[in-house]
Amino acid sequence: MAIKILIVDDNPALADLIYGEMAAEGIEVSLTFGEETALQVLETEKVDMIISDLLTPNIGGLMLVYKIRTNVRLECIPVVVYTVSDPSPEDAFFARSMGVDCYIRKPDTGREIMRSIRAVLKANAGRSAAKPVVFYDPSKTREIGKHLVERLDKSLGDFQKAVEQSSIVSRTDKDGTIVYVNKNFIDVSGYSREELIGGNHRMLNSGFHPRSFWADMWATILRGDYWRAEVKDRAKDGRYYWVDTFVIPSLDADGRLTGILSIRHDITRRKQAELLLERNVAELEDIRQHLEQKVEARTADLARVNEELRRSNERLTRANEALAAANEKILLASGLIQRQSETILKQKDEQLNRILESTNEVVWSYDLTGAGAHYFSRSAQRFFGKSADELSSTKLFWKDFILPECHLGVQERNRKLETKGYVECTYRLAIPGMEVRWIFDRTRLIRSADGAPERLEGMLSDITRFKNIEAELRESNDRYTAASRATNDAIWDWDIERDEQVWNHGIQTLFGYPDTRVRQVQEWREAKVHPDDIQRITTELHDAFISKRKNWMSGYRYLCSDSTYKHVLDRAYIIYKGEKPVRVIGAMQDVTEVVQYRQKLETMVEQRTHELNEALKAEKEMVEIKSRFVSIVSHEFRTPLSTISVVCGLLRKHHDQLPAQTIHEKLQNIDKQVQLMTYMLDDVLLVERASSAKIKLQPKEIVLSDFLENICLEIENSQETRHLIRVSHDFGRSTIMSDEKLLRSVLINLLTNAIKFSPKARYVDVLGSRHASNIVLRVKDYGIGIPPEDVKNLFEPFFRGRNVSAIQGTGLGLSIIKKSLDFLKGSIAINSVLGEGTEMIATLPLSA
Amino acid sequence: MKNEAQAPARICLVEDTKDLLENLATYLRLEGFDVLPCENAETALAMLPQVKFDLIITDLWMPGMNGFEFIDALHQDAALAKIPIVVFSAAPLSAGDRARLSGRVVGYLNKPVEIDCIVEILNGFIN
Repeated sequence: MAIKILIVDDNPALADLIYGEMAAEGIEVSLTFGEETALQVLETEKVDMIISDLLTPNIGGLMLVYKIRTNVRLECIPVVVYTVSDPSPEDAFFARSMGVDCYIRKPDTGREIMRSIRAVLKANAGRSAAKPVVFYDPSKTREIGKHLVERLDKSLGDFQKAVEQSSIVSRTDKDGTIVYVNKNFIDVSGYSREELIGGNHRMLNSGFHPRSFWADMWATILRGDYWRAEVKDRAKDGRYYWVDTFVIPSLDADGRLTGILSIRHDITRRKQAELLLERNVAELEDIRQHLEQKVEARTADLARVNEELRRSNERLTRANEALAAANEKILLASGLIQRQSETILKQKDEQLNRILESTNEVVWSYDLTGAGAHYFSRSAQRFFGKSADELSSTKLFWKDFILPECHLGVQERNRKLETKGYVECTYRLAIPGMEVRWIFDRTRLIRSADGAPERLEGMLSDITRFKNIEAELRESNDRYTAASRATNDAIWDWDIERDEQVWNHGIQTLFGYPDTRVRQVQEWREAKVHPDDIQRITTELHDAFISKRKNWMSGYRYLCSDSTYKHVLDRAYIIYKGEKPVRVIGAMQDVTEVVQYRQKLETMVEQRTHELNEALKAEKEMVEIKSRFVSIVSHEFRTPLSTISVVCGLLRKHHDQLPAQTIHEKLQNIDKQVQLMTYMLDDVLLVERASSAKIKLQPKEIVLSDFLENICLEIENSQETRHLIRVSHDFGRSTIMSDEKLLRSVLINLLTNAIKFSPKARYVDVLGSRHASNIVLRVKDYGIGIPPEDVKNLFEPFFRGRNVSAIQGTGLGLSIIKKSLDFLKGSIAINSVLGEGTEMIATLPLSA
Repeated sequence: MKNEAQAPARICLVEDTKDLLENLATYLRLEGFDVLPCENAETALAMLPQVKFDLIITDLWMPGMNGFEFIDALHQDAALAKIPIVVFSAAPLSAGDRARLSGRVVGYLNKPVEIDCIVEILNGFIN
């Protein structure tokens, strides 16, 4: 069934939705977007159904429904209304009254819409077009009309209000005199309301539009149509503005113009944009034109260049021709030049030959291809004693003359030449009639472009002199090494700037250090030189440097690897660079033995000197002793001699007056004096003998008690003082083996000393005691004592204490005691207090 | 030499060697002198003020007070200081000794004395 539906809606989305659904159902749909176009469609087409929005713009769907229902031809078409919201009760009533068949609520799905549509179609299936549907009674018409007028008024009011607010509105009479302007008009035009009202609308004319523009407007509105255009107006302040303008005429019933309504919208911004765009387009156009001009100009340039190229080509061609001509001339000239070149070449070659001739080197070239020629510099003649031709003619050149012992080396060289391309070699050459020479041979293998051996080139030098010098040097060095080995010196070479020292093997042989040749100087000097010598060595070297001396020599001690020191004599030679010492070469010689021998000698000399001094001292002492002896003896002898002299005189002159008894006594007195002097002489002799160890011991058994007591008694009796000798001992009948004579002299001297040095004392005490291995005899006096400082000299012969000058004595007593006890293997000790007395303690072995 | 007309000269002899003292005293007595032998200086000093002496003969080196001290002591006594003194000594005198004795003694007799000359010498001193 072909159904045609008209949809009236200003909302394309919904229309599309319904349209899509219906098209799927096979329903033909017409779409209109306003009620006016809908009515136009309805006039020409037969429609089965109308779907309309309730509130289309302007009068809306209700007015459409009204018009349909009041049109006889259309009154039977079912109408479906769809709305966004529920219609007001008045609208709903009006709609029902008008015969709206159905409401569809927005937004419904297409399915729901279709269901509603089908239902409406089914319900109206029985309707006939010929049979009008009277669905309202006339009583209701006035009410409906009133409602519609109200709706319209309201809609119109709303519309006007909207227009007033959004647009620039003015109204004029038929001549264009302004009767109304809204606020927007005033704002945009810049004129006040008072200035505008009563003024002609032409006051806004900008003069932009042509006369025909306005003629078109008048023609349109006089026909009763509205006129629309974009108009450029001018404001009061001269500012231009664009407005989209509707000019709506008001016509009376006869079609005469009564007034004009103008509704404008400000489009200045858009217009400005458009103008800008236009201007841009214009600029673009300018640019395009400019570019085109440029392209043209460039094209012209290219053409010009082309032209020049063409001309240049022509010139080249001409030049080529000239060149060819010149070439020909050159060819002619080159013959001459070649001849000149050959001359120069020849001169150069000559020059080279002369140079080669003046040197001792021989330059040669050997052709390997067989095609070329061999070459020898002219010096070959002198070198080999043969001409270049002669040499060239032999296949081996000079190889026949190489000494056989060098052949191996030469063969080796030839092998290397193949791979390396260049070799050096030394060999000996013996040419008959010439001395054997050393040759230094440098040979290079020249290859052709394809790598095949082409030529051998080389140079021969006579290095015999160098070899000789080398040999001499080696010999000299060997000799030096041998010499340094022979001397066994440690030789060092100090590079001061590098502060390095190079040593020979002496560092090892002499000092036992590893044979490292290069050492730090620091090590040499500060670590190895004896600490007591280092300061001196450093100062000496420094002094030598300062005074620019070339030689420096010093002796010092040097540390060996075994931590002992060796005495070395270091002799050095100093080399200066300008003012500065740069190198010192020294030889260190081991002089330890010499030094030690010298030290030994010095010790010996010292010892000998000491001995001599001692002897001298002894001699001096002896002289002193002798003089002392002479003095003492003379004194000691004079007293007994005086006595003898007096007694002799007495007897000689007065013997007749003297009784015989007295004479006898006087003679005895002489005897006594002689005996006294004999004792003194004995003492002197004893000391003399003891000093030269002439005494021979005669030991015999001595009964100690008898011996001691007898001597004490003897002394007590012989002396003329009143001293009493108090003896006590524990000897019993014990004996000792000793020399009686010596022992006796010891005891007598001890006792006489004790008596002599205690002139005012009454007693001398003697105490004897026997011990396991010895006997001790103590003799104690209560006399003058011995000054402590004299004790050490007491046993010297003829020594006398400083406090005994008034006491006669030879100074031999203690000397005799000491020497005797020495012989008897005994000893003597002294306890003495000055002014209080002395105790002499003699100790004797049981057997001498 | 005997001097019979006069009283014998009185001599004080000081000598520590007893043998010499006694023999010399005996000899001088036999020669006519009145001799007082003194074994030490202390004894002499004790005796001297008691009798008038014409001469003092003294040894120098003696135990106890020695000759020098003895002479010093004599000089401190105005009466004794006038008695001539002869030194009788074995030891040779040092210069110091001589200086010390100078002006205080009239003469020196060296041991051993020449016995034959002694009387003449002494008389010379006494006179």
